[in-house]
Amino acid sequence: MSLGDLQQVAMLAVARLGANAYGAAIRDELLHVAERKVSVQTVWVTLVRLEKQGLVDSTEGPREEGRRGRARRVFRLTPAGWSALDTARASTARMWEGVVQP
Amino acid sequence: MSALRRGPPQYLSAVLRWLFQGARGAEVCEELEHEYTVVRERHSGLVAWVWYLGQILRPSTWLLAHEMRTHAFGGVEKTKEKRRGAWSFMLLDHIWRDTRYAARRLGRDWRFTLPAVLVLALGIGANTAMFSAVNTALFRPLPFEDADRLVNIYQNRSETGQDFGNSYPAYQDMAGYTDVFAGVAAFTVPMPVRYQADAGIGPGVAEYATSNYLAVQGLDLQMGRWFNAEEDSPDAAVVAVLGHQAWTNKFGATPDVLGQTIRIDGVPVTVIGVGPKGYSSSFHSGLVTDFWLPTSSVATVGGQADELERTADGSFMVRARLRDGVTLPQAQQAMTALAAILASEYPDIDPGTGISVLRSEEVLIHPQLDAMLRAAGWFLMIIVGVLLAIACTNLATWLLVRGLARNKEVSVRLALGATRGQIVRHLLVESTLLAGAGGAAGYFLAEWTIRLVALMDLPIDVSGGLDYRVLGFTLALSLLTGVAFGLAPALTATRVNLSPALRAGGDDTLHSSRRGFNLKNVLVVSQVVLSCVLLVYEGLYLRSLAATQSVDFGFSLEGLAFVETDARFAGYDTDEAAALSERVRERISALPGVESATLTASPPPGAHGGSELVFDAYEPADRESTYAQWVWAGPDYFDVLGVPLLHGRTFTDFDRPETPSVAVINESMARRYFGTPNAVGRRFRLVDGAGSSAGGVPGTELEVIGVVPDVRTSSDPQALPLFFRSYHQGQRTMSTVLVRATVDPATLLQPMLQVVRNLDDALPVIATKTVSQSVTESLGARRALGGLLGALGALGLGMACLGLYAVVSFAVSRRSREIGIRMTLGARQTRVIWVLSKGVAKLLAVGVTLGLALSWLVVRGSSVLISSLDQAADGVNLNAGPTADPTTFALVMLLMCAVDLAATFFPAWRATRAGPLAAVRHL
Repeated sequence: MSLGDLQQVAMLAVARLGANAYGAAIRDELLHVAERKVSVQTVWVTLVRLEKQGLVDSTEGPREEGRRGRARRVFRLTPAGWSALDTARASTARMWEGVVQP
Repeated sequence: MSALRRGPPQYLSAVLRWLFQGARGAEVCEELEHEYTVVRERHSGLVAWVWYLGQILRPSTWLLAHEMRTHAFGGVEKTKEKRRGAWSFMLLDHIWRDTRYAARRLGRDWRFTLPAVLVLALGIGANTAMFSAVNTALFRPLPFEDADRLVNIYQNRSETGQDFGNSYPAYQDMAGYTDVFAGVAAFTVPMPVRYQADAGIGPGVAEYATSNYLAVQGLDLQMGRWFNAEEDSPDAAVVAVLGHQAWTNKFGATPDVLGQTIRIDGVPVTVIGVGPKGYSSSFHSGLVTDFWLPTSSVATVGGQADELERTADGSFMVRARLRDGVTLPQAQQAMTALAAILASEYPDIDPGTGISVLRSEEVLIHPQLDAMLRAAGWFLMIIVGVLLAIACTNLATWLLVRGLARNKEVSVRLALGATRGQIVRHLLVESTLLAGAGGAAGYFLAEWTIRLVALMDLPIDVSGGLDYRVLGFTLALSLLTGVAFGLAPALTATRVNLSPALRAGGDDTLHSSRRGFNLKNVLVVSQVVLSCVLLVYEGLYLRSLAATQSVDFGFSLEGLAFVETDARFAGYDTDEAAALSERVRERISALPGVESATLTASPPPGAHGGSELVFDAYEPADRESTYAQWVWAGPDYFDVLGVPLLHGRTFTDFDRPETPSVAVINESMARRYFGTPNAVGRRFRLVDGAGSSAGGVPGTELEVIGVVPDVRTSSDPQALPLFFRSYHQGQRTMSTVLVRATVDPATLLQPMLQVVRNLDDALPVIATKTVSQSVTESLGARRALGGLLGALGALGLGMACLGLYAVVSFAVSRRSREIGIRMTLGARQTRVIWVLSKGVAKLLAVGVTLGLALSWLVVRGSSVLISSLDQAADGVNLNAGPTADPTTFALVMLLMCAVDLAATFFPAWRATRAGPLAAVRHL
């Protein structure tokens, strides 16, 4: 299964953040590391679609001090997600082979 | 609680919660709420609110909601959740699709959309702006604490027995009624002054008020303090409180202003405070007061020592706070008792006409002026109402025409399986979108207009901004019109019988169209009627304005120039100032190109003072006013103006302060009070004003030495009694050298200014202008009003034309088949145009006739209303409404016919030009 560009960076952000992979943190990671400015809603849309495809799943995270309401939803990659990421990296790497910038 | 308060507003988060239902949805809502609190902490509540609203509106939010609803999370509960939310989302989705479709459709039909939005924008925007400006200027609510406990007290005027003003001693008597009033404050009407600050000399407005002014009215200063009782005494140094607007506009809103010394009418005054924000003057109207000064300084600054004495026509206004438990009738009773005492103690001064007590809330500015203000308000409301009505009927006509024209489209959609509900919903969305666009454009137009008005240097305060109630009302009305008339054709159209509509190539389907046409005829006629009323009403008003503008002042303004100085600001006393002015005059008269030069107090045609007069041989009728204005005139004054002398002599250098006071009077005054044009040698006396003594005791006696033809001081076309006093017998500190030039007067301005500079560099020059230039500037406000009314008239006419054009074009296009057949069979173009125009011409004839009749009724009605107000206002010339004038009626009729026929002719002409083939193609 081929991944969209935003899906790929969102999954990488989930992988980098580990136990802290919730909506706003992923958005911040995309902003600071990938230098991509997206809204938290866009992040959520991407994650929900990935969840539909079985590439990520989510659970309720731990409750935080000073935060009202329910706990945040934390995302993590499923084995299928890891495998899709791996495929994407390999295919990109293959494409780079032999490319010389003039 | 504080944590709760930091969250987003309930009404906004409710939208999100409705959008995101279920457990997962709640997580999204909370995430956004959390972000809201972060934004709020980092920036401000407003920024967070805007951010949060942006989040709700952004498409990704709606996309997410959609994704989450269609996401199969599994489990019975989640499926239920999904089904629960589905219908609302579907409706939303449909509305969204309808909106996009309607927007595309309106964009494609820009020839319809653009004028419709424009008309709505003008109807909503122009109306709101105009109403808001006048509303804030005239009818703003009282800013006082417990305003319902405040009363205004007026001593009634001697001649008419109507409420007028109070003398200062009478105010002190009123203040003694401590059992009735908790506090009594007094202030004068705003008086013009000149002030000198860092930026130079400028005109300002001052009120003289008592030390308890703030406390009685329950107001708080912006900064500094109000003057105390010690500072309100004749020996104290003069202090002033700046008006908030003067502080912002004239003193740069700097706190350093406190303690600063400025000169008001040449007198040094220390600034000790800045008035309340949003409080422009004691009259809580658009009038703007720049300085509040202690009452005791009315003698030193205002130069009116007798203002503080007991007179019949005092100029102090009194505002009092009722003691707890005291009612208005009780206060009135107490003041009636005081009036009786005053009448018996001062029979020479007090006319015994009583004292009136009115609720402050019931008075706009002054009981004498309120009638005029209300008349002006009514006039404005009529114009605004008619314009709004035109805009609404216009929109209705267009929607109706468009609805009929779309019969075929509706039929196709019905045939393709659209439900009636869907089509109605679609058309409804379209008209709402149209009204919404018009409303948004109107809002910007109103904002822009009101800013433009605020930028103009008007003597009234219109800074109140937009009146959102009016904006809301006009917007709601246009929305209602849009929906009502968008819906009517939608319902009619969806009742159509499919097959004839599809077959007929968009031709009339009998039943529904005929009904629509009848309604459309009514709308066309109403538009013509309304435009007629608007045009006639405004035309008459503009004519009366034009009449006052082209007034003959009794002398030619051409060839006159002046230089105006005020020696008080350079520290001169009266004699020094007079000597200096004379030297300035001598040197200016020696300039090449100057035929003659004279001295006066300020440039013509304005007057310099006014007074009730007493004549030995003339007994005024009951309640008759003998008020007349005067002008200070030096030797050669009449030569410079080019006014011939009818009898006697003019002023000479021998008329000095120590010689008997003399006057030159105009012919109207001579005939009215002396019964002869030659009144030389007769005498009269001033009752009040400069040079008078207390109260009704006659003051300065003047001997008539000459009579001149009628000279006017205002644009009032009627010649009023006017007299001239010798400049050398006046106070002479404010001086104007007026010259008649043999060359272009504008070329003399610089040399005249140089003469003043050479004599005393420190002498403040107020103005150097030609007289015609200064008169033109003084008429600027009237011209602006005339321009505004003209623009509104043109707007109304333009809107009516557009409406008419739309209707006729439509009617013609519906008959294109018939035109084609006629043209193919050899009908002449003129004949076809006539056939097409005939029906519309009938409608126009009905509209114009009804319109002119209604205009006549409106004009008659308003003049009856105004004359009754005129009587109520004690003979104050309101001049606020037009009178019926056959020429204007005829002009409006011709204009309407010409414009309407043009609107009829062009679509018809175009249809016949299309050629028979184009029309036959429809067969």
